Amino acid sequence: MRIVVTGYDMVTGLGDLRSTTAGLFAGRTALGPLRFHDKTGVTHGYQIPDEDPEPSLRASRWLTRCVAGAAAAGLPPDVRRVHVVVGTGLRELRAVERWAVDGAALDPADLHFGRAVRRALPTVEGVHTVANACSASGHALAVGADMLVTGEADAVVVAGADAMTDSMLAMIARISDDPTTALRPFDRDRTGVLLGEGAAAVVLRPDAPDARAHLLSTSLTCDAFHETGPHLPGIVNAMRDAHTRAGITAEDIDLVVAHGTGTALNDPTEAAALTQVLGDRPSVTALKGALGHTSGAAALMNLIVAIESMHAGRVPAVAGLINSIPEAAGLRLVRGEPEAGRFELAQVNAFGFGGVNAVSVVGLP
Amino acid sequence: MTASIIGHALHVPSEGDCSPEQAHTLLGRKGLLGKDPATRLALCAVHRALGLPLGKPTLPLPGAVTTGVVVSSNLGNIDTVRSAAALVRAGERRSISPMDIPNASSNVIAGAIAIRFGFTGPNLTLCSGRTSGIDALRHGSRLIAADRADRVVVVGVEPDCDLVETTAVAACVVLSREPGALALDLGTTPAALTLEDDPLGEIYGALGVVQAVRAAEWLSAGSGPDALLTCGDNEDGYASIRVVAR
Repeated sequence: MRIVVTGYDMVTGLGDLRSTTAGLFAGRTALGPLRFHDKTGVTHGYQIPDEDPEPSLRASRWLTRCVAGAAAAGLPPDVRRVHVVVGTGLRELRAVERWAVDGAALDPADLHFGRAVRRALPTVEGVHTVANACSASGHALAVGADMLVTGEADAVVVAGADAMTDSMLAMIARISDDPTTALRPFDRDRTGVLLGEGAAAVVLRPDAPDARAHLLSTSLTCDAFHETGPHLPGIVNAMRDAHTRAGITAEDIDLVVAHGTGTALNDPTEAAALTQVLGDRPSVTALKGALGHTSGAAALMNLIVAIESMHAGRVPAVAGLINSIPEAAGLRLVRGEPEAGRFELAQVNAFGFGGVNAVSVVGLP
Repeated sequence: MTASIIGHALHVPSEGDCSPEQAHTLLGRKGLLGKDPATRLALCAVHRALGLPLGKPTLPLPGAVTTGVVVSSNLGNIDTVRSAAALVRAGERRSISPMDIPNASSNVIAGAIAIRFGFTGPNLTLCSGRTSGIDALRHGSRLIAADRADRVVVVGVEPDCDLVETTAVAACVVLSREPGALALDLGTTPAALTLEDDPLGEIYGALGVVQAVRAAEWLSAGSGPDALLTCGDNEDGYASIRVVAR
């Protein structure tokens, strides 16, 4: 079955879909001093400028907006069996923190995203919250595509959403004595990861005439090796399996939107895997220097920017990258200015805690 | 799109099975340090559903490379998140144990199962509320139908948690592409046995998988040909699945 993307929307620290893509091409970043999260040890992040005081259930709010936006762009009202698969790293765990620490009211039904989705699409058959850490929306993409292949759904809205939590920020600060103030993917002077936030949604349908992109494959693998660290063989397997499932070879890939978290471990491992599997042919970019690590939403943001780049015939540069790490010496990282070219087939990477890897191949329709 | 059930187990500390603190009596001591209660219960249920001898398994287990994992749990990491948040608020963020870093992630249970048993197939964690357990069974059988795995370990687990007043329980169902005496059937037609609430009381995201184990036990005893499992509420919607004898 040929599966296509018929519409999408996203909201990031750089704004809505249009502002985010324009901002990425202009080299802007959403980096700023962190709001709402004192005492965690982390001082900076890539946040959405919500009003004070901190609103409740922020991820749900962005998700409702993106699901509605994606549906308006690509889901005709006569499509019957619609499922929504939401990838998330942190669910609404921020609400658990405010319940535990401030005594704020908490309805357990708000921890997952059924309500937030049904506010935008009241008649959906099912809402599935896939909590697969930093590759959650990549996993959601595979689940959504499979639901079309097995005939369980006529259309699937695949989404991702995450807001920050004190606990995750404190864990980031716990790993490094001096948390970074800027995320710099693949740079030799990078000093670690920072969180971003936001949501993204795409509509997947069996072959449709109004397609924006063709989703050729998503591969899912698990390293079964380390709870938090990446593992080269698992990542290489995910890339090769994505190509096999797509019926392409590595030489067909023109563009890579990498995971690129700016951590000591991810970037060398990912660069080694890309070098091993793809070599120096494709252009490689990464978004987290501009958008922060948006956790469960990151894979879909990568996918949407890959599609926008293929249509525009240019790719945004990696924000924060000046001197690349030695492991990336053989890669064509896009730095400084956007790179113009003809891009027809893109690979999108997402890797998460638990060794969960999701690699997608997406092309022009 | 069906998958056979080739193994199942229920692990209920309040009914005499080992508690999370005593998990080493089943699993051996190695690899349990820092594991949260829900992860320990889940490892116990998987260990028993696979029929493994006492202690840490010797890897690789046969078929592990093409075995996937699907876990349903809404509350597994709630206590980790809440205690870390309390330490941050108290200005004691440096007291957070580095051992707890993996436990803050909602997918820690599925990752720990993959590492312990060497399962490198797709690894999914569902936190969808009341329908999560039956959703996990459906997602598990779809991983097989979509040629992503030959075998899938499906787990439903919740710890004791005062947010929802749950009873601690873990259930595991092993799905396979190979034919077997019992199978999942994605239909929703009435059956000889209907399972809705469970005698254990509130078990939230574990419910659907616990129902599947109960249905498998009932069918294996020759009590009838089929069972219909249903869970959900008006807020989260409803999900159903059938377990049938072949």
